[in-house]
Amino acid sequence: MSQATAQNIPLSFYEEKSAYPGIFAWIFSTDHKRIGLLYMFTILSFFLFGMSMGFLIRLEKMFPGGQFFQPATYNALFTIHGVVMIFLFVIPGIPAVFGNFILPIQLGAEDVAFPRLNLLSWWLLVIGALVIFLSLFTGSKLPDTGWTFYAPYNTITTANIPMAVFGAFLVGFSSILTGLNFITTVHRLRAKGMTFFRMPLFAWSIYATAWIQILATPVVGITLLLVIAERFLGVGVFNPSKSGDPLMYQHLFWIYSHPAVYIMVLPAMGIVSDIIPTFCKKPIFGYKAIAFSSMSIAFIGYLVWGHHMFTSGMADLARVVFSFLTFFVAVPTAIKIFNWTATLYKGSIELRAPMLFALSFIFLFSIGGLTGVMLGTLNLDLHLHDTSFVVAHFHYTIFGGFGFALFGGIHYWFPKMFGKMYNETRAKWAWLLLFIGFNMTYFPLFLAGLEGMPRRYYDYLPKFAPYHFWSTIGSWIMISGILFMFGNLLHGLLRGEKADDNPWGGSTLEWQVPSPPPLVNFTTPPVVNKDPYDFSDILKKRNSSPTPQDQEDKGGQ
Amino acid sequence: MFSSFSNFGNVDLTFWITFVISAVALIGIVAFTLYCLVAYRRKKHPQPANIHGNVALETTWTVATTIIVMIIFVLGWQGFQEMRSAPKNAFVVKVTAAMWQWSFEYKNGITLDHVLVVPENKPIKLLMKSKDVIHSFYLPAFRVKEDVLKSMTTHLWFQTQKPTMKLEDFQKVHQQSYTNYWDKVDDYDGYYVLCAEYCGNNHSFMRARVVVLSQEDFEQWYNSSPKTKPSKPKIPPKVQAVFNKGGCLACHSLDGSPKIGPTFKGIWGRKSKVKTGNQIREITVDAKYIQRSIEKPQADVVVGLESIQMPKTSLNQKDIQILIEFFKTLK
Repeated sequence: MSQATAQNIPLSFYEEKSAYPGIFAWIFSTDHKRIGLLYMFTILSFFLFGMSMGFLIRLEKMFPGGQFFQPATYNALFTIHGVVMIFLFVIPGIPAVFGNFILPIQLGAEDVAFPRLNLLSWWLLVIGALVIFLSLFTGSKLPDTGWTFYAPYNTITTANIPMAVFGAFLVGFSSILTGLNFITTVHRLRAKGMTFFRMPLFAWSIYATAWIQILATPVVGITLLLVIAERFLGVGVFNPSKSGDPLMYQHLFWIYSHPAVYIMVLPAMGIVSDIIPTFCKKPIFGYKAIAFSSMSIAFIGYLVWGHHMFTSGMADLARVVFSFLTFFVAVPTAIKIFNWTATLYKGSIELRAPMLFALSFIFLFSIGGLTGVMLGTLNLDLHLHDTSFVVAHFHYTIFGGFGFALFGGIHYWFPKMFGKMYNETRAKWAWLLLFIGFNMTYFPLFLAGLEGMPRRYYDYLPKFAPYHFWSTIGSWIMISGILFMFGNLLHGLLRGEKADDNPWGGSTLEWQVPSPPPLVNFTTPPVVNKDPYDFSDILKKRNSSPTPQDQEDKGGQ
Repeated sequence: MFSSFSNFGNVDLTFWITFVISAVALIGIVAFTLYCLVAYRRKKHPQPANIHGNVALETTWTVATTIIVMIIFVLGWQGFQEMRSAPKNAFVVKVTAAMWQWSFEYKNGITLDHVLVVPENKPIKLLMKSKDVIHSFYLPAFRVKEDVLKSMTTHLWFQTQKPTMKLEDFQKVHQQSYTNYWDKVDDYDGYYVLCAEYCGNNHSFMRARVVVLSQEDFEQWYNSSPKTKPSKPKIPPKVQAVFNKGGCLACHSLDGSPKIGPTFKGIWGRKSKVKTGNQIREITVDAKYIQRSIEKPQADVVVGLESIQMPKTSLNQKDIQILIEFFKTLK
């Protein structure tokens, strides 16, 4: 290697010397890229743990009647599955991983605005997770309230619920700090020339999400304080035996937890909005509409929590108002789906692995959204509420939405993050297994729910047996797909070929820095003078000096 | 949706309308995507067009979506109004939910556990209250559901249609144990009540059945049934304390009425078939058997109740002795 090239290629952030040795170089690092990867490995471990719980739930429900567990164990399984998946995997989720790793580079920044707070957020997540896991073993039984911790059941069960809620609170705090960081980063650290409307849509979605993280999360803190006041000071807040109101708990819980579902899914939409133009080599259709719908989803998302309470005993008028507002979330969501699909029109489409995940996101999330419309419809919800229809609906939106987008994002940014490439053929096979298994697992639950199968049931009437049987078989296929996918990624990480700086021909700023990026992202501060999805330079380069891949494509023409 | 007996046809109608709209939208999106994937694949279409958007198209689909969802909202709202306003002449039954059973109390004082008897062709209004945590009264065949709380009375209503049983059959079935009761649940036109709000260990066993009798049968039953539960045995305070500690009465009745587990009435000296491991044997209930059942609930399981798991309790030797002495008196 000549001296000149050595100077042109700075050391990557992996190779750069740290002040701390070994693992401390990671867990005490304030570099946004290292923190992003810390988050990624942390939450993916939680995901695998939560997935094992899900596997056991499905196993128990394969046939009617008790199979492997006592009812109490089953109840603990779905509680732990929900708590781990929601609070430790999905809520930190995409903002923590890609918001950290990718967002600053996309904006042309060196780091997030407050790198030390950023490290603190990761520590809060880890401590919160430890508290939650500790709560499993410190009550007289495993937590068995479901992830919603509904009152007054949470006050009469002998499980250690205050501690579990406290863990969720710490995780929430991590979320607030992350949101604070990203809002400041977006406002203050954009590169020269990058106006708000030149930001990639992923950055827009993280920005919208960050507002929800800051404004909604404190409510869960208030709820926690009240739960503690009730449990330890004997103040009647939620428990009717102490003249408390259990509905108040539900209100407070959903004021946070409903906006939280947009914390989960908005960044997922952001990833899809970045992947699709790259593999169409064409600007996204209706950029401003997508950016504004992110903001309006974040805003309307605050006003619809009551749709979780259509059968709760809440006043009928309130139910009507919440239903009315809920339908307005459907509009910006539909706009996004139409825009993504319209982007395909007259593109130059490459069906690479990340694109498969992005397109299946649209399909699965559409099913999740359309069934969401059904659940928002008042009279239908009286029948479908708290049935397995709801379970299927949110797995389609959260797993089919968030999960597929996260996996798509991992496949999309993998070469950037690690400077290596996974085997793409295997990635596509893994996607196929996952996609088939996913639909087989969750679609039957829609049908069972329509027939009246309530959720959180250890045992069920014999008429629901076929749905549960096929769902369980589906879960095996899905899990094989997931394990195959992670195996392939791990293999790419250890043995993969070296990746180019811009393997997909992406137009946003992260593709202009080396793979993996140097510690200081940009050797010279970038100046932005064009739209985020302007592929003219990339197409020009492709036409003038085609890569072997381009040659191959041309040959087939 | 499965066969309906509901007067609330609006629920199924709304479902099918939203289903068709959803299916059209989804098929449209998928078909367009597949078309683009084939027609504009890179090999065939190497030079992408430079389209940034189309104001007319975007406005159209925004407005169209808004109109469609508003129509769906109104459909839901109208149906909901109907489902929430019970007619004035409705037959009122009080419902009490507790971990883990449904009880139904009639104006004339009749109280029933696990079965709601109602007349044909009549609007039925339920006033519901919980004794402990939140439960949810769900009657899938009628498409109705409402949470049941301790802090307030909630309500729902539905309209019965044809009778589902004759009085004599009902009386025969009602005498049987809880298990046989549920084996045939699908034969009774799916008129079953389920708890839809998670309420602890036996949430999924918290069921009840709705029995619709013809007008004459109903009147005969209503006027002839004992006004209170048959001969409620007196429970001495120290026995009551043990029951509270173990939570026994949630699943076992004292008066022979069907609950989740076998009744305590006449339990002393009762001969019953139990499954020990994989073997079925006949036992006579004695002190040893009672002790074993409490300490190791899964050791012997009464035949027919295999799918129901009795939880372990914190009862000690002294408690068990108190129970044994009490059971001897329960003839």
